[in-house]
Amino acid sequence: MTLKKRIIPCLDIKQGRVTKGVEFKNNVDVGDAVELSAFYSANGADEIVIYDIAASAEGRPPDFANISRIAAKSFVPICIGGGIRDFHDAAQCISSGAEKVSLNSIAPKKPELIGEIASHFGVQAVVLSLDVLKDSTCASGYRLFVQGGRKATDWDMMDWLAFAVPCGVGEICINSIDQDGKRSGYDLQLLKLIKASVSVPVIASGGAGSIAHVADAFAAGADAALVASIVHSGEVTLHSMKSKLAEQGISVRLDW
Amino acid sequence: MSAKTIGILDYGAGNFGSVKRALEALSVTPEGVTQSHQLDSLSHLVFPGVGSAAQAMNALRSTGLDMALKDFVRSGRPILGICVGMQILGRYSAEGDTECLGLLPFEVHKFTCSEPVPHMGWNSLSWQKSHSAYSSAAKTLSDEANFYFVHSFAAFMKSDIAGSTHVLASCSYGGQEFAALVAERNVWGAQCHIEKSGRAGFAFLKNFLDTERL
Repeated sequence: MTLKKRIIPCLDIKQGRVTKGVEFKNNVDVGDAVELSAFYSANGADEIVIYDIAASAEGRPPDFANISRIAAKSFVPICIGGGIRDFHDAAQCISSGAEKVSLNSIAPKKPELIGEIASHFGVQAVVLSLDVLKDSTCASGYRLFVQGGRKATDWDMMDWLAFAVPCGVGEICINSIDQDGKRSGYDLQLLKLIKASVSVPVIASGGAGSIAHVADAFAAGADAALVASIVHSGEVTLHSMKSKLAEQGISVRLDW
Repeated sequence: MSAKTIGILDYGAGNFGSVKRALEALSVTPEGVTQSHQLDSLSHLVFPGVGSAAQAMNALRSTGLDMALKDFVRSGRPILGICVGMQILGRYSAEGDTECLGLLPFEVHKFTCSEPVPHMGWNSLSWQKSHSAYSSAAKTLSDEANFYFVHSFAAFMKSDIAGSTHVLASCSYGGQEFAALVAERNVWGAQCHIEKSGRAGFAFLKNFLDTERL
């Protein structure tokens, strides 16, 4: 009885379709969100994260009808991010079938939202998602970005975490903009830095290009790993990935 | 076998929708139950729950559903509580110092371990194979099957076995062992979110629906 390390396929959605970019740009179409989510749910995903990557920039809420369609066919926990502007949006994501919401750009702008959601739905429903870029002018070496990695903030990543996590964050998802979509591995130094400073679970995101990279993230302390390009391309299945991880002694869920 | 009519108690619990969708995926068309009299026509009742035990008990008491639930249990028909729905089948929850339904003999307390709380994620169980419901509840399930948990409170195991005869499977987190699945006569409960536990959750849910009135 060990809590399993989670593998979480990440679906970036635009108009109901899943896309994938490199360094947050040049997105290509990889499939229908409902079908892809149902496929992953039935084939080893421990959770599914869905980001509406255009919502925030377009100033609109997530596509709730689409969340309902996804939830009707996916029977693992679902986390929704992108476009959540206030408590009402978050509540509607959850009533549409999500278990968790992921807050990114909105959190530095409206940090009280973290506590509002946590006190109503529990801290486990709040994932704080951070897009960070290496920046030597920050004490921690990383700067917080918002709006899909397009806009720098004044926050040093560590200062932001120290401020935001106690507000009611149940989990942190750390996205390395430097590594996103490059498939050259997660930023392990970044993961270790965060694991050493927070007690909530940490999800590694951005850069998985091989099963070894996922194993490295777990060795660096990650509780879960977000995977996108590597599984969307079809060259690695969740089954083969998890079997390989299990062979290396990493505790993962193999029954589904 | 008589036709089955499955109800889900709809008292504002956050996972009502996901429990409904899981039943629909099993080709069941469940009825949402908001009032006591709707329980009469049911063969099985699923009792979801997310949030706090105090909130849930208040919601039940204010509508009289607490008494109706006890009558339902006395009628011998199968009932399954999920997460907070399971927790309030017990006698007491320390969450909000809440007196619960008392249908099963356990009490619920907060994790005191040093691991992060809530206990959140997939975990496997330790099945009590001598339990009389084991063969029906674990049917088609592997002993290694993982279930999805999200909770800060739990029904921790008593040191004396006699105090835990209702425990069908236990789980452990941060060195604290607690009831993951419970069953006593027609009353079943799952601390884990079986509606979000993929195929393993479906198997358990289906096994519950396969049980008969006492």
